[in-house]
This record gives sequence, C-alpha cells and structure tokens, in this order.
Amino acid sequence: MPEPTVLKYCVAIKTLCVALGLNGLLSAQSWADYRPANHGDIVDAILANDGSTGIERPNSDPALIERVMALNEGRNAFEANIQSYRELSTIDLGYTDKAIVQRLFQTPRRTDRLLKPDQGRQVVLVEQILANLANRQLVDEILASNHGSLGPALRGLKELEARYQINLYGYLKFSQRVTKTLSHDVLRQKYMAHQNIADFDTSIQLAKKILNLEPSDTQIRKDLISLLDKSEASTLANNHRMTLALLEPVKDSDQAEFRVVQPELQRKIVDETNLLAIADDKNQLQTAEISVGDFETRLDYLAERIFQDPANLNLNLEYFQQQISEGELEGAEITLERILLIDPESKFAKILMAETQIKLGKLSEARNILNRLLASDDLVPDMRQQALNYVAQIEEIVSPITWRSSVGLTAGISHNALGRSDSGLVLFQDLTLDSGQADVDVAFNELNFDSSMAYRLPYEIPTTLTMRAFGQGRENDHEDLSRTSTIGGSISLREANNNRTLESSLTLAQTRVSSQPYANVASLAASLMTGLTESLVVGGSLAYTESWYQDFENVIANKENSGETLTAGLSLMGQIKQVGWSVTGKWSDSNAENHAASNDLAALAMALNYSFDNCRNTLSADRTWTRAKAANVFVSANPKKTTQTNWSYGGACTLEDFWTGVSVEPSFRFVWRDAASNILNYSKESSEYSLGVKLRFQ
Amino acid sequence: MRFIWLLMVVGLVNSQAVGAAYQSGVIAAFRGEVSVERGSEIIPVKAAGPIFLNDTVVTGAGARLQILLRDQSTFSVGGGARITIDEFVYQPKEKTGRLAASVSRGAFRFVSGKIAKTRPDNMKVKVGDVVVAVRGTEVIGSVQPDQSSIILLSGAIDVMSLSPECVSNSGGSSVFEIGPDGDLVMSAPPLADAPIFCSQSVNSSGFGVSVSSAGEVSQPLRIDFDEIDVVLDQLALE
Repeated sequence: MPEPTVLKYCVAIKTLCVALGLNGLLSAQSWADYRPANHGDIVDAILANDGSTGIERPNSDPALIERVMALNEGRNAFEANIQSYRELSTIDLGYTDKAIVQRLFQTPRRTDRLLKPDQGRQVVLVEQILANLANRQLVDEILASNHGSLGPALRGLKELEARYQINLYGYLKFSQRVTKTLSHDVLRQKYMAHQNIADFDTSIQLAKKILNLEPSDTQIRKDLISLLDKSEASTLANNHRMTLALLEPVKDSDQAEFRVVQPELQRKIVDETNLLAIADDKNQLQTAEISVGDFETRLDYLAERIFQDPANLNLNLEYFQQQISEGELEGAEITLERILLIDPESKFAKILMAETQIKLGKLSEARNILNRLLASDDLVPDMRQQALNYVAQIEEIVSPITWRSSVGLTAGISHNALGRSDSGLVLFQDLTLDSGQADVDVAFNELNFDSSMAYRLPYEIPTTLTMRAFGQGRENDHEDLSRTSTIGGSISLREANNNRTLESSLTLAQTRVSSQPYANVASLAASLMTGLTESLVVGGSLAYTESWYQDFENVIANKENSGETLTAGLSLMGQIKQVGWSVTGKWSDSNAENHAASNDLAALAMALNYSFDNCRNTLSADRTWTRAKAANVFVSANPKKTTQTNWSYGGACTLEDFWTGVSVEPSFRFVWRDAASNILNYSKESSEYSLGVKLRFQ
Repeated sequence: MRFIWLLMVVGLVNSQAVGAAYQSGVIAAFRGEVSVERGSEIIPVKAAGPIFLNDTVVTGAGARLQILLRDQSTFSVGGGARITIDEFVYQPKEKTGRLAASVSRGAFRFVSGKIAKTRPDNMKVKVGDVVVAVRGTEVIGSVQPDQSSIILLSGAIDVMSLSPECVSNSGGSSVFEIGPDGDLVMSAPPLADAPIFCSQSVNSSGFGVSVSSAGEVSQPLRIDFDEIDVVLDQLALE
C-alpha cells in the first residue's frame, strides 16, 4: 500500500496540475491521486490488496466484495449478480457462448444437464461477478474523475492492472470507450492511409470504428463490405450489406439486393456482433409474417423461421432446446452443426454437441469433439471437467467388455426350520409315529457372490457372450441343519434384435453339504422372448438338465437320485406405468434311476414389481404341483403328490456410487411356504424373513 | 393460412426452366469456398442464400456446408463436394412431397425430414452410381472416383446400383421420375434377374456398403470406428 505521505504528495501535485490546466502532464506513477473523495471506498478496497503481499487473486478480497455488495444494496443482490455475470461473460466468451449462457440461465434446466456448477464453483463465480463489477465501477469512477480526459487515466489503469493483476483496460476496450475519443475525421485519415498501403486488416478495424461513430457513412460501409469479402468474412459482409440496404433503399426493385427485411431483422442489424445474415438473391421467396398458430407444433413453427433465417443464432438455440425437449436428437445435432458453422469457436456449443452425440450413440464423433476441446488451453475448469466426464462415459460404453460383480450377505430367521409336518407325525409302514422334530426358529446367514464378464460380439444383430461365476452358501444356527453351498459357472449367448431376444446357455454347478459334494448339475437352456406390443412380452424356454448325485454319508442310495429333467416354460410379461407384472407357467418331466425320485411337475408363478427412484418392490406367488412317478415304499404305499404354495415379498434400493465404482443395495425379504401332500410327513408350513446388503462393483 | 400456401414449393423433374424459378432449399451455414452452378452461371453463395432445383452446389477444398430443405431434411457436405437437389415438392399441411438429390462427389451426411417420415419411398438420393432409398433417418458417406461408401447411422436404407447389369436403360439420362400415383420412382427400373450385388438393404446403425467403380454394391458390413472417422473428419467442423 502506498505510504500516506506519498498519497498526500500525489493529491497536492494533482491539485496543482488541475489548477494550471496540465492534467495530461500527470505521471502514471501517481495514478492514485486521481481519486476524488467520492469514490474512495472502492479504490481503497483495491489498494488494500497490495501486490507485495503476494495475494494471487486480489479480486476475491473480502473487503472488496463487501464494498461491491454495499453498492448493490437495495437491489436483489442475487439477480444483480447473475445479471452482471451475463453481461460480463461477454468479455471472456464469444458471442455464441454468451448467448448459450444466457439461454441456459434463463431456462429451467434438468438436473442432469451440464453447466451445473458445484458449490465451490458457484462461490468462485460470484466472486468473479463481484470483482468484475468492482473493476467496472473503478474504471467508471476514475474516468469520471478525469472529466473525459482518457490519456492519464489509461496510464493509471494500466499500472493498476499490472500491480494487482486485474483486468480494467479490457472493460474499457469492450465498452469501446477507448475508440470513441478519436474523432471521425482522425479515424478517416488513418483509414485512408492504411487503404493506400493495402493494409486490409487494419483498414477493416478502422472502418468498423468509423462506422461505430458514424453508422450512416455509407461509403465507408461499402468499402468495409468489399474488404470483408476479400477476407472471406462473408457473414459479416452480409450484415453490412443488409445495413446498407436499409440505409440506402434501392428505388428500382429489380435491382434491390434485399427485397424483404422483416422488422425483427431490422432491429438485429444494429448490433454489429449479431451474426444474422439474409439471402440476397433476387429470386428469394417472399416471406410473410408467421405465427405459432399457423403450425401444428412449435417445432414446425421454429423450423420455418430457421428456414427463413438460418444464421440467426438465438433462433437456432431456441430451436435446439425445443428439439431436445421433444427428443428430436438428430435434428438437435444438425442445429448444433449449423451453430458451429456460424461460430466455430463456441465451446459451449461443442460441449452440447458432444452431449447430444453421446445420447445418439455417436460416441466416436463425441470423443473427437471432446478431445479437441480438451486440447485447448483456455477451457474453463468446469467445462474441462464436464468434457472429461463425457470422455470417461464414452470409454465405458465403447469398451466391448463389461465386468460386473456383486457380493451379498443376508441374515434372517427361519421359522419351522427343521420342517416339522403340520400334524407333527410321520407315516411309516401304515403306522403314524411322532416325528420328534420341534417347530423351531433358527437364525441363518447366507453369503453369495456373482461375477460376470459380458463381451459384445461384432455382429450386425447385437450379440453378447457372457461368462458368469456364481456361488451361494447358507449356514444355520442349529446342529441338526447342515451347511449347504452351491458353486457354479455358466456361459451364455444373447442375441437381442429390435423386440426379440434369443438366449442360450450352458450352466454347470455343484452343490455341497457340509463341505462334501452332494450333487453335480449340468443344464442346457434356450429361451426366446418377443414383444407383442410395446408393453407386452411373451417368452418361451426349454431346458435339459442332467444331475449326478454323489455317495453321501447318512443318505441311503443318494446316487440313485441321479437323472435327467426336461423343462418347458411359457411366460407373459407386461408393464403398466411403474408396475411390471409377469405370469409364468412351467412343466417338467424328471426321470431318475430311483423311480420314486422321478416326478412330473407343473408350476404357475405370478409376480408384481413396483419400482420408484432407485428402489424396487416385488410381490410374488407361485404354486407347484408335483407328482412322483413311483412310491417310496419306506414312506408310503402311494406315490407322493405335493402342492406347494410360496409367497414372497421383498424390496431393495440401490445407492449408486456409494464408494467409487461401488453401489450398495440394502434389501429385505419375507417368504412364506405351505406344502400340502397326500403323505402327512410332507404337509408343512414354514417361513423366513431376512435382511441383506449387497455390494455391486462395476 | 395464407402463409401455408405461400410455403408450397413445387418442382418438376427435368424441367429446369420451370424448376429454376422455385426455391427448394437454403444455404443454412457454410465455411470456406462454396459456389452454386446455376445453368451456365457460377455464383458464390451467401448465408441464407436460396437453392433452386437443379442448382449444383460445389464446395472448395476444406469447405463445409449445410443445406436445409423446407421439410427439415438436411444435407451436410465437406470439401470438394458436389450436390444437386433434383426434385423437391413439399406440402407442409400434409407433410408430404418428394425429394430427390444427387451427391456426385465428396463426403456427405443427410438427415431425412418430414417427407421421408410420411412417405419413405419419396426420398431418394443418388450417391455416385447408386441410389439410396431412405427409410430414415441419417446416412453418411463419401463419393470417390474409385470407390464410394455409404454408412447408415440411424434408420434403414436400400441401396440400388445404376450399373447396366442392374437396371434397364429405359430411363434415359434421368434417374428419377414421377410415377402414376405421384410417387418418386426410378426412371430405370431394376432388372428382375439382376445379380445380388445390385441391391442391398442396410438395417442396422454402424453398418454400410461400399460401391466399386463398376457399381457393385457390397454386402452390408459393420464399419469400424476408424473408417467412420475418416468420413466424419471430412465433415468435421475443425
């Protein structure tokens, strides 16, 4: 901070110079003494950030922010800040980006859209808004204090910029207050000089400045059109042609370059940066005033307006938003292509293009755009992060291999765990005996894992080869109940085309009881599902299963249970709003070496599934009718017939990305089983309820 | 309603004198050197400039162009391309009409509009020596002297060769004509015993065909990303 004595000195010098009319002689080094008393607060706030303190971002100084907040007192501060941001964003952003920012701020946006700054970013944004606002205030006030004498003020501002790393002169340039001090005549002289030496670039800049001061200078405008044509800036040249046509209406209509200029377009041409262009062909169609009411949809109305005015940026953005909201993604992509042809530098348009292309599945194109964006040095941090997120998303989709794994743990209570019959009796050689089994509740826990790798094959019909390993173990807290586990693997081929899915699979599994092999199973299955309507699917399945039971301690002739089973299924599935339903019929014919273990089976299952957010609830009921093909003479003289009914209600919610790449799925389940049989020992009722948690890895 | 009638754009095949009086499309946006061959005239294009029937739009090296038709069909072409709108009739009220265009050189992309949605048979694009019947909605490709490629990005297309082995020569010099029911048909109908290479259907996104200089159409093949990128690079905006 300058020493108070220096400040006093500066003020004294200024007073002297003003008194002598020598303002212009004041040195830039003494810029601070230009400060009149009535804008001292802001200047003091900036001075408080002395460069020697090493503050990297003086604009975020709390004192400065406080001062600017005070300036906004009485206004809606948030609105004022946002408005300031909109205005100020033009300093750093191109015309298209500014328009996109404005439009996105104005429009209610879906939460999953981009440009949703996180809280930290919002703070930085607000700081920038406030700081920029302060800078403007400072510039305005310093300029005001110099009564329009720009030279010394500019020198002071430049020094201030250098010392405090803030952008003041940029605003001055942006607001064109620098150029306005040059007179029309001086600019013309300079312009003529540069024209004479064929310095086209400088001539263009000077011509633009002249037209800023004197828009009706038609000769300069004609020159500028000619210069812009030479530099291939045809869009801008067309803007000036249109302005010229308005300034000099051609009396002979046959020679008129612009026969139709809508009032709306007339307004737009006032803005030099507006990229509007209009056709100049003498055969151009006549246009008429159009309104939304003339068209079936707003999209059609906008399409017609675009047809008449394809280079109108705001119209294109409105059209884009309408297309996105109506799911017209291909059209939206074309609109963005048009916007990028008009303004190739728009980074926002490129991000929107990548986002649209990802939705369209054009991953290669999206990746190219994102890679080019990421290669540019001036990408703002949140846009860079957004681009990186999209690239990661693409990489995941593009990879033909998908890995999925899950580990689940369930714990619960099983009621009538020992399977005591309803009567409590056992039928043995026409004698009824007490079964001796108690109706007990037993705690159990289950551990399961499932891991799969899906490989997308390069066929025209989407085909996936999936290899899967799975396992499940159950342990009961009762000495009479064994520990059981099943471990297996499968390989399946799934072909999904339009509304038809064909899947075939081979599954191998082994069941172990108390760590000893109990049975091995191999199953070959095929299924076909096809949509009858948009919300109704019918499916059929056929499976052949071979079982090999092993010699097992305490189980007489366990091996004789080995055999084969043929199963056929038919199912109907549908969806009504959020509720899915299914009805499945199943028939199987099982033939074992021991005929008493052979049976016919019929089953009917129904399920209702209700989903909301990341949660789902399932209520299911099934009834199975089983008839043994021969009697087990040790139990009964008659073949066993059983009807079993199961009710199940369960629910689970998925907490996505609970940890990086890991989702957590807590769940609950209640199951009630009732079996009725012609043999007393097999009529029983049991139930169990459990809570579980599953971790999913992706 | 008055406006709806004003919107009606009428074109007639092979009637350049009449057709040239009506606008079929508009230069929506462009970069680089782009001109229009209108009869014997070569006219530099301007943004929002009109395209009339039988105008051939030519792009210079490195140029990019987007043409918008009133039914919301869009054609985008890269540098060194030639594209002609041969036929365009559109009735906005019914959203019906006919659209025929020819891409005789360069990389292209077209997205079909209302006409193909309402009457898919009525949008056909001649690409080099084949005709692409568009059943919607987005196709890219490249026409080169030795080999052309046509890649489906969405929807479905039928590709028919115009090779003498594939079509009768009764059509004369024109490729399209208007059938008795007002539909757009090929002037030279396909031969009944045409070889298999004469016609292919592409029904899956990311698949496409290549066309040899003799007009032989390959079977649909999955086009790998690199190959798609080659075409897209010619259309890319950077």
